[in-house]
Amino acid sequence: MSGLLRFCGLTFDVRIPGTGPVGVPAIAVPALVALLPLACFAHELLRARRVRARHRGVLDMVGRRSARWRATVLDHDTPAAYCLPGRRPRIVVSAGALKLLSPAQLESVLEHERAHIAGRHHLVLAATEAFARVFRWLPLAREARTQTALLLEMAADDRALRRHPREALVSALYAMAAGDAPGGAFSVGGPDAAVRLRRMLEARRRPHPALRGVVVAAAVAVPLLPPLLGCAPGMG
Amino acid sequence: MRRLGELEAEIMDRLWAWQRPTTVREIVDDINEHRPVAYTTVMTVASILYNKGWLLRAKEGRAWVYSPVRSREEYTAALMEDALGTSEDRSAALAHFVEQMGPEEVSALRKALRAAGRRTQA
Repeated sequence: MSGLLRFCGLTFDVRIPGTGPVGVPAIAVPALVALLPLACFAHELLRARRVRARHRGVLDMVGRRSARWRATVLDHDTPAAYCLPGRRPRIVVSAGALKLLSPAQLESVLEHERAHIAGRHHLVLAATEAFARVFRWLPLAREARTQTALLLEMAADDRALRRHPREALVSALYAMAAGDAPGGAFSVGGPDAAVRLRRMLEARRRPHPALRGVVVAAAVAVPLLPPLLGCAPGMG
Repeated sequence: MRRLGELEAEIMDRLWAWQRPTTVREIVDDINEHRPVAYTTVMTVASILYNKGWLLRAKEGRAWVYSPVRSREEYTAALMEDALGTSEDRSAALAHFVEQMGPEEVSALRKALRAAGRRTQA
Protein backbone atom coordinates (compact mmCIF):
# COMPACT_ATOMS: atom_id res chain seq x y z
CA MET A 1 0.00 0.00 0.00
CA SER A 2 2.72 2.46 0.96
CA GLY A 3 4.59 1.45 -2.16
CA LEU A 4 1.56 2.27 -4.23
CA LEU A 5 1.19 5.61 -2.47
CA ARG A 6 4.81 6.47 -3.05
CA PHE A 7 4.49 5.43 -6.64
CA CYS A 8 1.62 7.79 -6.99
CA GLY A 9 3.59 10.55 -5.35
CA LEU A 10 1.22 10.69 -2.43
CA THR A 11 3.60 10.17 0.47
CA PHE A 12 3.59 13.02 2.94
CA ASP A 13 7.26 13.90 2.84
CA VAL A 14 7.19 14.10 -0.93
CA ARG A 15 4.03 16.12 -1.22
CA ILE A 16 4.55 18.59 1.56
CA PRO A 17 8.13 19.71 1.57
CA GLY A 18 9.68 20.67 4.87
CA THR A 19 7.47 18.61 7.21
CA GLY A 20 10.31 16.27 8.03
CA PRO A 21 10.00 12.54 8.78
CA VAL A 22 6.62 10.88 8.90
CA GLY A 23 5.00 11.34 12.31
CA VAL A 24 3.59 8.60 14.51
CA PRO A 25 -0.06 9.33 13.69
CA ALA A 26 0.67 9.04 10.00
CA ILE A 27 1.68 5.42 10.54
CA ALA A 28 -0.55 4.53 13.46
CA VAL A 29 -3.88 5.57 11.96
CA PRO A 30 -3.64 3.55 8.72
CA ALA A 31 -2.15 0.63 10.63
CA LEU A 32 -5.07 0.74 13.05
CA VAL A 33 -7.58 0.83 10.22
CA ALA A 34 -5.92 -2.21 8.67
CA LEU A 35 -5.31 -4.19 11.86
CA LEU A 36 -8.56 -3.59 13.68
CA PRO A 37 -10.74 -5.59 11.26
CA LEU A 38 -8.11 -8.34 11.16
CA ALA A 39 -7.97 -8.57 14.95
CA CYS A 40 -11.75 -8.52 15.10
CA PHE A 41 -11.92 -11.28 12.46
CA ALA A 42 -9.57 -13.47 14.51
CA HIS A 43 -11.59 -12.76 17.63
CA GLU A 44 -14.81 -13.57 15.79
CA LEU A 45 -13.40 -16.89 14.55
CA LEU A 46 -12.33 -17.91 18.04
CA ARG A 47 -15.63 -16.88 19.55
CA ALA A 48 -17.63 -18.83 16.98
CA ARG A 49 -15.41 -21.86 17.47
CA ARG A 50 -15.98 -21.74 21.22
CA VAL A 51 -19.73 -21.52 20.72
CA ARG A 52 -19.68 -24.45 18.30
CA ALA A 53 -17.49 -26.60 20.57
CA ARG A 54 -19.89 -26.06 23.47
CA HIS A 55 -22.85 -26.84 21.26
CA ARG A 56 -21.20 -29.95 19.84
CA GLY A 57 -20.37 -31.22 23.32
CA VAL A 58 -24.04 -31.22 24.32
CA LEU A 59 -25.15 -32.41 20.89
CA ASP A 60 -22.95 -35.51 21.02
CA MET A 61 -24.49 -36.36 24.38
CA VAL A 62 -28.19 -35.95 23.60
CA GLY A 63 -28.38 -36.46 19.82
CA ARG A 64 -28.73 -39.77 18.02
CA ARG A 65 -26.28 -40.49 15.23
CA SER A 66 -28.11 -41.56 12.12
CA ALA A 67 -25.91 -43.62 9.82
CA ARG A 68 -28.53 -43.53 7.10
CA TRP A 69 -28.62 -39.73 6.88
CA ARG A 70 -25.07 -39.16 8.04
CA ALA A 71 -26.46 -36.66 10.50
CA THR A 72 -27.26 -36.19 14.16
CA VAL A 73 -30.94 -36.35 15.03
CA LEU A 74 -32.33 -34.21 17.83
CA ASP A 75 -35.58 -35.31 19.45
CA HIS A 76 -37.54 -32.11 19.01
CA ASP A 77 -40.85 -31.46 17.28
CA THR A 78 -39.88 -28.20 15.60
CA PRO A 79 -38.72 -28.88 12.05
CA ALA A 80 -35.12 -27.74 11.83
CA ALA A 81 -31.90 -28.49 10.01
CA TYR A 82 -28.59 -26.80 10.63
CA CYS A 83 -24.89 -27.46 10.54
CA LEU A 84 -21.96 -26.99 12.86
CA PRO A 85 -19.07 -26.15 10.55
CA GLY A 86 -15.42 -26.40 11.46
CA ARG A 87 -12.91 -29.16 11.84
CA ARG A 88 -15.32 -31.63 13.41
CA PRO A 89 -18.49 -30.75 11.55
CA ARG A 90 -21.96 -32.01 12.37
CA ILE A 91 -25.18 -31.86 10.44
CA VAL A 92 -28.21 -31.75 12.68
CA VAL A 93 -31.84 -32.47 11.85
CA SER A 94 -34.71 -32.47 14.28
CA ALA A 95 -37.21 -35.29 14.61
CA GLY A 96 -39.80 -32.75 13.47
CA ALA A 97 -37.95 -32.31 10.17
CA LEU A 98 -37.70 -36.09 9.71
CA LYS A 99 -41.44 -36.35 10.16
CA LEU A 100 -42.23 -33.40 7.90
CA LEU A 101 -39.95 -34.13 4.94
CA SER A 102 -39.94 -36.96 2.44
CA PRO A 103 -36.63 -38.82 1.98
CA ALA A 104 -35.93 -36.94 -1.27
CA GLN A 105 -36.63 -33.58 0.38
CA LEU A 106 -34.48 -34.47 3.36
CA GLU A 107 -31.59 -35.50 1.11
CA SER A 108 -31.63 -32.15 -0.65
CA VAL A 109 -31.73 -30.28 2.67
CA LEU A 110 -28.78 -32.31 3.97
CA GLU A 111 -26.90 -31.60 0.74
CA HIS A 112 -27.53 -27.89 1.34
CA GLU A 113 -26.00 -28.17 4.80
CA ARG A 114 -23.04 -30.18 3.50
CA ALA A 115 -22.42 -27.36 1.01
CA HIS A 116 -22.10 -24.89 3.91
CA ILE A 117 -19.49 -27.12 5.51
CA ALA A 118 -17.54 -27.94 2.35
CA GLY A 119 -17.58 -24.31 1.26
CA ARG A 120 -16.25 -23.08 4.63
CA HIS A 121 -19.07 -20.58 4.68
CA HIS A 122 -18.54 -19.89 8.36
CA LEU A 123 -15.25 -18.11 7.55
CA VAL A 124 -17.03 -15.68 5.25
CA LEU A 125 -19.74 -15.09 7.84
CA ALA A 126 -17.12 -14.43 10.51
CA ALA A 127 -15.41 -11.93 8.21
CA THR A 128 -18.58 -9.95 7.54
CA GLU A 129 -19.46 -10.17 11.22
CA ALA A 130 -16.08 -8.66 12.13
CA PHE A 131 -16.45 -5.98 9.48
CA ALA A 132 -19.89 -5.08 10.81
CA ARG A 133 -18.55 -4.83 14.35
CA VAL A 134 -15.59 -2.62 13.53
CA PHE A 135 -17.51 -0.29 11.22
CA ARG A 136 -20.84 -0.52 12.98
CA TRP A 137 -21.81 3.04 12.04
CA LEU A 138 -21.53 2.18 8.35
CA PRO A 139 -24.83 1.05 6.80
CA LEU A 140 -22.74 -0.82 4.24
CA ALA A 141 -21.21 -3.01 6.96
CA ARG A 142 -24.58 -4.00 8.42
CA GLU A 143 -26.02 -4.56 4.99
CA ALA A 144 -23.02 -6.64 3.95
CA ARG A 145 -23.61 -9.01 6.84
CA THR A 146 -27.23 -9.80 6.01
CA GLN A 147 -26.71 -9.88 2.26
CA THR A 148 -23.67 -12.16 2.56
CA ALA A 149 -25.67 -14.57 4.70
CA LEU A 150 -28.36 -14.67 2.01
CA LEU A 151 -25.79 -15.16 -0.76
CA LEU A 152 -24.24 -18.08 1.12
CA GLU A 153 -27.66 -19.68 1.46
CA MET A 154 -28.11 -19.30 -2.29
CA ALA A 155 -24.69 -20.81 -2.93
CA ALA A 156 -25.62 -23.80 -0.77
CA ASP A 157 -28.97 -24.06 -2.58
CA ASP A 158 -27.18 -24.14 -5.92
CA ARG A 159 -24.87 -26.88 -4.79
CA ALA A 160 -27.77 -28.95 -3.52
CA LEU A 161 -29.56 -28.44 -6.84
CA ARG A 162 -26.64 -29.95 -8.72
CA ARG A 163 -27.42 -33.35 -7.25
CA HIS A 164 -31.07 -33.17 -6.33
CA PRO A 165 -34.23 -32.22 -8.20
CA ARG A 166 -35.44 -28.65 -7.90
CA GLU A 167 -38.87 -29.74 -6.70
CA ALA A 168 -37.38 -31.53 -3.68
CA LEU A 169 -35.45 -28.54 -2.40
CA VAL A 170 -38.17 -26.00 -3.21
CA SER A 171 -40.88 -27.99 -1.48
CA ALA A 172 -38.61 -28.72 1.49
CA LEU A 173 -37.85 -25.02 1.85
CA TYR A 174 -41.54 -24.19 1.77
CA ALA A 175 -42.49 -26.95 4.20
CA MET A 176 -39.81 -25.96 6.70
CA ALA A 177 -40.49 -22.23 6.46
CA ALA A 178 -44.23 -22.66 6.81
CA GLY A 179 -44.06 -25.39 9.46
CA ASP A 180 -45.50 -24.68 12.87
CA ALA A 181 -43.15 -24.08 15.72
CA PRO A 182 -44.53 -26.10 18.63
CA GLY A 183 -41.41 -25.10 20.56
CA GLY A 184 -42.58 -21.52 20.47
CA ALA A 185 -40.31 -18.54 20.51
CA PHE A 186 -37.88 -19.22 17.72
CA SER A 187 -36.87 -16.41 15.46
CA VAL A 188 -39.05 -15.71 12.48
CA GLY A 189 -37.22 -15.03 9.26
CA GLY A 190 -37.65 -12.09 6.95
CA PRO A 191 -38.08 -12.27 3.19
CA ASP A 192 -34.92 -14.36 2.67
CA ALA A 193 -36.76 -17.63 2.19
CA ALA A 194 -39.08 -16.02 -0.35
CA VAL A 195 -36.14 -14.58 -2.27
CA ARG A 196 -34.41 -17.99 -2.37
CA LEU A 197 -37.58 -19.77 -3.36
CA ARG A 198 -38.43 -17.40 -6.22
CA ARG A 199 -34.85 -17.58 -7.42
CA MET A 200 -35.01 -21.38 -7.56
CA LEU A 201 -38.40 -21.34 -9.25
CA GLU A 202 -37.31 -19.01 -12.02
CA ALA A 203 -35.25 -21.46 -14.01
CA ARG A 204 -33.07 -19.01 -15.84
CA ARG A 205 -30.74 -19.97 -18.57
CA ARG A 206 -27.09 -19.38 -17.85
CA PRO A 207 -25.84 -16.24 -19.58
CA HIS A 208 -23.69 -16.58 -22.65
CA PRO A 209 -19.98 -17.18 -21.80
CA ALA A 210 -19.00 -14.01 -23.65
CA LEU A 211 -21.41 -11.94 -21.56
CA ARG A 212 -20.06 -13.51 -18.39
CA GLY A 213 -16.50 -12.70 -19.51
CA VAL A 214 -17.42 -9.05 -20.08
CA VAL A 215 -19.06 -8.84 -16.64
CA VAL A 216 -15.99 -10.33 -14.94
CA ALA A 217 -13.64 -8.01 -16.83
CA ALA A 218 -15.73 -4.99 -15.90
CA ALA A 219 -15.89 -6.07 -12.27
CA VAL A 220 -12.10 -6.24 -12.14
CA ALA A 221 -11.46 -3.08 -14.15
CA VAL A 222 -13.87 -0.64 -12.51
CA PRO A 223 -12.32 -0.68 -9.02
CA LEU A 224 -8.89 -0.19 -10.60
CA LEU A 225 -9.94 2.93 -12.49
CA PRO A 226 -9.76 5.55 -9.72
CA PRO A 227 -6.19 4.71 -8.60
CA LEU A 228 -5.03 4.53 -12.21
CA LEU A 229 -6.59 7.88 -13.04
CA GLY A 230 -5.27 9.36 -9.81
CA CYS A 231 -1.79 8.07 -10.48
CA ALA A 232 -1.63 9.39 -14.02
CA PRO A 233 -0.08 12.74 -12.99
CA GLY A 234 2.32 10.99 -10.63
CA MET A 235 3.69 8.86 -13.39
CA GLY A 236 4.61 11.86 -15.49
CA MET B 1 -10.71 -48.55 22.78
CA ARG B 2 -13.86 -46.47 22.59
CA ARG B 3 -13.71 -42.75 22.90
CA LEU B 4 -14.41 -41.16 26.23
CA GLY B 5 -17.36 -39.27 24.76
CA GLU B 6 -19.10 -42.51 23.83
CA LEU B 7 -18.90 -43.86 27.35
CA GLU B 8 -20.13 -40.52 28.65
CA ALA B 9 -23.12 -40.76 26.34
CA GLU B 10 -23.76 -44.39 27.39
CA ILE B 11 -23.82 -43.41 31.05
CA MET B 12 -26.10 -40.44 30.45
CA ASP B 13 -28.42 -42.57 28.29
CA ARG B 14 -28.96 -45.00 31.14
CA LEU B 15 -29.48 -42.34 33.78
CA TRP B 16 -31.98 -40.53 31.55
CA ALA B 17 -33.83 -43.78 30.83
CA TRP B 18 -33.96 -45.01 34.42
CA GLN B 19 -34.91 -41.67 35.96
CA ARG B 20 -33.69 -42.50 39.44
CA PRO B 21 -30.47 -42.02 41.38
CA THR B 22 -28.08 -44.77 40.31
CA THR B 23 -24.83 -46.25 41.58
CA VAL B 24 -21.80 -46.82 39.37
CA ARG B 25 -22.19 -50.56 40.03
CA GLU B 26 -25.64 -50.63 38.41
CA ILE B 27 -24.36 -48.81 35.34
CA VAL B 28 -21.33 -51.11 35.03
CA ASP B 29 -23.52 -54.24 35.32
CA ASP B 30 -25.86 -52.94 32.61
CA ILE B 31 -23.08 -52.05 30.18
CA ASN B 32 -21.39 -55.41 30.90
CA GLU B 33 -24.39 -57.18 29.42
CA HIS B 34 -23.26 -55.92 26.03
CA ARG B 35 -19.51 -55.50 26.43
CA PRO B 36 -16.87 -55.63 29.14
CA VAL B 37 -16.05 -52.38 30.89
CA ALA B 38 -14.04 -51.86 34.05
CA TYR B 39 -15.72 -50.54 37.18
CA THR B 40 -12.96 -47.98 37.69
CA THR B 41 -13.37 -46.66 34.15
CA VAL B 42 -17.06 -45.99 34.65
CA MET B 43 -16.39 -44.51 38.06
CA THR B 44 -13.82 -42.13 36.57
CA VAL B 45 -16.08 -41.08 33.73
CA ALA B 46 -18.99 -40.57 36.14
CA SER B 47 -16.92 -38.18 38.22
CA ILE B 48 -15.81 -36.40 35.05
CA LEU B 49 -19.49 -35.93 34.19
CA TYR B 50 -20.09 -34.68 37.72
CA ASN B 51 -17.25 -32.16 37.38
CA LYS B 52 -18.55 -31.04 33.98
CA GLY B 53 -21.90 -30.27 35.56
CA TRP B 54 -23.91 -33.03 33.88
CA LEU B 55 -24.50 -35.12 37.01
CA LEU B 56 -25.44 -34.58 40.62
CA ARG B 57 -24.24 -37.00 43.25
CA ALA B 58 -25.09 -37.87 46.81
CA LYS B 59 -23.72 -40.35 49.30
CA GLU B 60 -25.93 -43.31 49.94
CA GLY B 61 -24.34 -45.64 52.48
CA ARG B 62 -20.77 -45.98 51.25
CA ALA B 63 -21.43 -45.46 47.55
CA TRP B 64 -22.16 -42.39 45.46
CA VAL B 65 -25.48 -42.29 43.66
CA TYR B 66 -25.66 -40.20 40.51
CA SER B 67 -28.55 -38.45 38.79
CA PRO B 68 -28.71 -36.11 35.78
CA VAL B 69 -28.79 -32.38 36.43
CA ARG B 70 -31.19 -31.77 33.56
CA SER B 71 -33.38 -34.04 31.47
CA ARG B 72 -32.52 -34.97 27.92
CA GLU B 73 -35.48 -32.88 26.71
CA GLU B 74 -34.16 -29.82 28.51
CA TYR B 75 -30.76 -30.14 26.87
CA THR B 76 -32.37 -30.70 23.47
CA ALA B 77 -34.58 -27.64 23.87
CA ALA B 78 -31.53 -25.59 24.84
CA LEU B 79 -29.69 -26.74 21.71
CA MET B 80 -32.62 -25.82 19.50
CA GLU B 81 -32.81 -22.42 21.16
CA ASP B 82 -29.08 -22.03 20.46
CA ALA B 83 -29.49 -22.95 16.82
CA LEU B 84 -32.79 -21.31 15.96
CA GLY B 85 -33.37 -18.78 18.66
CA THR B 86 -32.64 -15.10 18.69
CA SER B 87 -29.39 -15.29 20.62
CA GLU B 88 -26.59 -13.32 19.03
CA ASP B 89 -24.30 -16.35 18.94
CA ARG B 90 -26.38 -17.83 16.20
CA SER B 91 -25.25 -15.97 13.12
CA ALA B 92 -21.61 -16.89 12.72
CA ALA B 93 -21.59 -20.21 14.50
CA LEU B 94 -24.65 -21.95 13.18
CA ALA B 95 -26.32 -21.42 9.86
CA HIS B 96 -29.59 -23.24 9.63
CA PHE B 97 -31.55 -24.24 6.59
CA VAL B 98 -34.42 -21.78 6.75
CA GLU B 99 -36.15 -19.69 9.34
CA GLN B 100 -39.79 -20.07 10.13
CA MET B 101 -41.86 -17.38 8.52
CA GLY B 102 -44.78 -15.20 9.41
CA PRO B 103 -48.21 -15.81 7.84
CA GLU B 104 -47.79 -13.05 5.23
CA GLU B 105 -44.55 -14.46 3.87
CA VAL B 106 -45.98 -17.96 3.89
CA SER B 107 -48.96 -16.95 1.76
CA ALA B 108 -46.65 -15.04 -0.62
CA LEU B 109 -44.58 -18.20 -0.96
CA ARG B 110 -47.64 -20.32 -1.60
CA LYS B 111 -48.68 -17.95 -4.41
CA ALA B 112 -45.24 -18.13 -5.98
CA LEU B 113 -45.31 -21.91 -5.83
CA ARG B 114 -48.76 -22.07 -7.40
CA ALA B 115 -47.74 -19.69 -10.17
CA ALA B 116 -44.69 -21.81 -10.90
CA GLY B 117 -46.84 -24.95 -10.92
CA ARG B 118 -49.14 -23.37 -13.52
CA ARG B 119 -46.17 -22.38 -15.66
CA THR B 120 -44.78 -25.89 -15.75
CA GLN B 121 -48.19 -27.35 -16.57
CA ALA B 122 -48.84 -24.82 -19.34
